[in-house]
Amino acid sequence: MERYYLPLSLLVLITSMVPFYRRFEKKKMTAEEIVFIASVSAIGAVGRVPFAALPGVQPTSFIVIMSGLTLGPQAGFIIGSTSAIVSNLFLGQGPWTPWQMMAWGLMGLTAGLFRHTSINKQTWFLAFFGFVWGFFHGWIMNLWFVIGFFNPLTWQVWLGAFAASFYFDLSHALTNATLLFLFSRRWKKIMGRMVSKFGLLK
Amino acid sequence: MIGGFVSIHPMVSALYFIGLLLHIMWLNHPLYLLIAWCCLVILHLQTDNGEGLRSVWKGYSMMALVVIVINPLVSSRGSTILTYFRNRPITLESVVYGFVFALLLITMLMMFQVAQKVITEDRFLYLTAWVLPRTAFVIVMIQRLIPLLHSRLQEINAVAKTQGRFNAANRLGKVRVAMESLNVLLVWTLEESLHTAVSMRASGYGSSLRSSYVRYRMETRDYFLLMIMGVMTASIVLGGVQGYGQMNFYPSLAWKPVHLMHTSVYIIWCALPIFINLGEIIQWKLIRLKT
Repeated sequence: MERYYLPLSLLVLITSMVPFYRRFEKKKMTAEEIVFIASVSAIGAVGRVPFAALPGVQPTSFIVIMSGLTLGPQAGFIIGSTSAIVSNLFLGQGPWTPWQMMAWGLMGLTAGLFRHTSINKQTWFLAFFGFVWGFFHGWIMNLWFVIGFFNPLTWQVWLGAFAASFYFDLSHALTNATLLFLFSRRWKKIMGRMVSKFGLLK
Repeated sequence: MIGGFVSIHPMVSALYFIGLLLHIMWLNHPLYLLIAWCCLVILHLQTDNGEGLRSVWKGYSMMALVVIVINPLVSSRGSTILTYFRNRPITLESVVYGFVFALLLITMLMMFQVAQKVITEDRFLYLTAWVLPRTAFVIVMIQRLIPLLHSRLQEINAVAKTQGRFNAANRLGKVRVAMESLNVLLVWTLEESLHTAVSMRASGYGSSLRSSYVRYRMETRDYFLLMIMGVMTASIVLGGVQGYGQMNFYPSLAWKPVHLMHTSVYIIWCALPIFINLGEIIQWKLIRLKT
């Protein structure tokens, strides 16, 4: 059975993304909404350019979280997972693509769950949220490699995988926390204004 | 190479690669993996003279090495103990497991690499548009936006420079400067995008089904290929269900003896693109001879 973890996990991942994309395809959407989603995802893809001088700092997760917060879980998932596809169009698709789609998709989705709560006005909470997701994202990205190629899956394997990616995850988490703490209020204002101005994604 | 396997219908090549991926993940007997690996090396050489492989083989080998080294160290399953490392038994089974799965990993990554050479971006979008039209549309839009946003960023930076805003000393300052550019980009792009949407609607977006700009036609050879692939998949699956081409590792190594028929069908499956490419070359030669 363990030999089939890799194909099975891919199957489960892809099937679990079907409902989101199905709903996105079937839903009646105006041109504004589609262009809005495309623009935010494109900013997510280009966002790393101004940060070229800062190795290890990438705002993509920040943008995914912010779009989830302002547009809701549905659009958050789509923007997150589409950003993964698009960035892999340049960097190369692989067995990690569905995992990356899932990781960023869930990041946008969970951020979207806090859209109508009052706690999302607290920047410390958003910073904490981004910090936690920095690690979650790295752990999800470890999964395909660990599940697919190690057997048996002892706790030493997991510990080793977490240790190997710890530095990257920490830098991702700190980036998210810093950006969300300093800039989330402003981005929410800008995006919220656009949303209400054009009546998007009601 | 322009003709040959690269030129067949994207749907057929996508189905071929999906099938190959499933076979690689499922039929993990080292012999089968080696067959797939060899065919993929040849296919790489045929498609781009191995250029793509040259740039990534170091990374692939590193990943494979991790699998080979870590597996026996962390797992003490298996019945044949080879030696002890820090009082932990190193078993033959876990060593073999490491090697086989390292080979599987490399083969799989090489398959993705060559699949991207065959299913280029426009073909990928053609296929996506077939299943998920709106998603494909969004991706196309993003692809167009990326160069546009790049040039906008340059413009923003040029303005920022004249204002002397690039003199950040520490790391946090640099983050602030970068985010400042991104903020401007956000406002600018969102405003613009809504104008785009208005003009899209004016030109009739959503009033009827979308058509695809790039069109591919299924030719006779594509149908023919589909048929062969169907027959071959059926026989490979039939043998696979009976346990051919697979290896069990724990508690001890076990596999069924090689089934000549099954292995030959598998070889033909893996070498199918190579045959198609060769056929193209031979055809060319023949045409040249005639003239």
